[in-house]
Amino acid sequence: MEKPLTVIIKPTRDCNLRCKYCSVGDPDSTYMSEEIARESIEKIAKRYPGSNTKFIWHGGEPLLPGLEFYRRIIKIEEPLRQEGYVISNIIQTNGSLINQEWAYFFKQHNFGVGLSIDGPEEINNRTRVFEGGTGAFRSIIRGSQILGESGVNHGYLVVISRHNVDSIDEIIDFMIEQDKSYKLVAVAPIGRAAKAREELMIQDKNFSKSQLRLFERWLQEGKSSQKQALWKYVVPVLTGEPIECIFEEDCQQSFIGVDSNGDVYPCGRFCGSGEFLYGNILKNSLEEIWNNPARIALSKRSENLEAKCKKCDYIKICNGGCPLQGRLNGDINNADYNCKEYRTIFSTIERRIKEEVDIK
Amino acid sequence: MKIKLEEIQEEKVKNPHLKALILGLKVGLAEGLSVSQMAPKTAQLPQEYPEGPGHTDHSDYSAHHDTAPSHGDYCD
Repeated sequence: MEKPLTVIIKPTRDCNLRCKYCSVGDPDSTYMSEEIARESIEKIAKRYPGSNTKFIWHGGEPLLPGLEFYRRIIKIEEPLRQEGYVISNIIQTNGSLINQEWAYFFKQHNFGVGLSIDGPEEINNRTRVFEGGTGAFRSIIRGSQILGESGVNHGYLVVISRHNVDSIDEIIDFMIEQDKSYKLVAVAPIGRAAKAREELMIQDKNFSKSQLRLFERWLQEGKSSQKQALWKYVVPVLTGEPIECIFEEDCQQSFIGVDSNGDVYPCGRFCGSGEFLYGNILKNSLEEIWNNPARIALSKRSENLEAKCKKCDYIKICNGGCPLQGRLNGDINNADYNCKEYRTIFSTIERRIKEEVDIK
Repeated sequence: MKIKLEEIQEEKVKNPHLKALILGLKVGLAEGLSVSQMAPKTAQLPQEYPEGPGHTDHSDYSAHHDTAPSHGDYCD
């Protein structure tokens, strides 16, 4: 049985925020046409009978195209569901545009919602700001409250950068207070962040220290949301199986990205990277896209990883990390530029679990 | 990597939260679930799956029982 496919689809690169580390870069006014959206959904969902496809509507700010755009998406998807295709939708938004109408729509059509927020007000507003510099915290929280009142399940996504890496306890306390599941993601030097490395990039062992502090807090407090944030590190150490796209042996079996102009890439983070352009959803068949040499090379990355990865104790659960982040380290076949941090996280968690379970 | 989940004896696990996780994983794997299928959701977990010391950690099967979609395995 073929694996479910996650499509990171960007209805626009436009945004009403100017977050300091945005991986997209400066916003442009490209919006996805209905034709591109239809072709993306139909072509990808119909790749085999009864396929399972998850669309993550990402951006830019994916609410900017407006509710009518998503009503048309539902009209495109509904007949496919009736034909037996399994389709789900998730939206990753900055939350500032959410109102009752959006919340009702998400509830009615079973959208999963992720809100991007970097911690309590003072911490969030260091990085997540409107054009002009005003912090977005209150708009995000208002959106979250509207979703909560409407019964829409939603979680938080926190980008860890130099601006908040030393505030991990405040972030953990904030998440407990908010009673939300969350993920912590290390900032990547792409898009706008590439121009502000000094200001944003996490240096030395700060990222691993933040994750390991969360691990110790989970051991003490046992909050479900903490466990969720640590799942990709703790469970692989226990089971030997990698979790999350960045650690998969071949992420291309499970992920693909479609940009607002219909260009197809390995995932959302690669969008705009010409070297990894697989084709265009309007101009190319799915077979041509699947067989693009760049996709084949990416799929074979685990065979071609640099020697230090092959000798590493954690190769089975890390697989060299994210290819994009390997490329940022010089080549897609190189180790992820966060390699040392991941090793520290895995090895420390392994040692602590051994202490806890009494294994020598 | 020297930890083997199947060889861990639950009664020797000192930490209650780690113990609940290990138990949950063992049961889920025995039921034929993958670790990804057992992952908690990014979206808030429903209240009917509480956890805590002495309580089976049902949130480990949230993907199995909870139909609310989430980010799943995508990093961003």
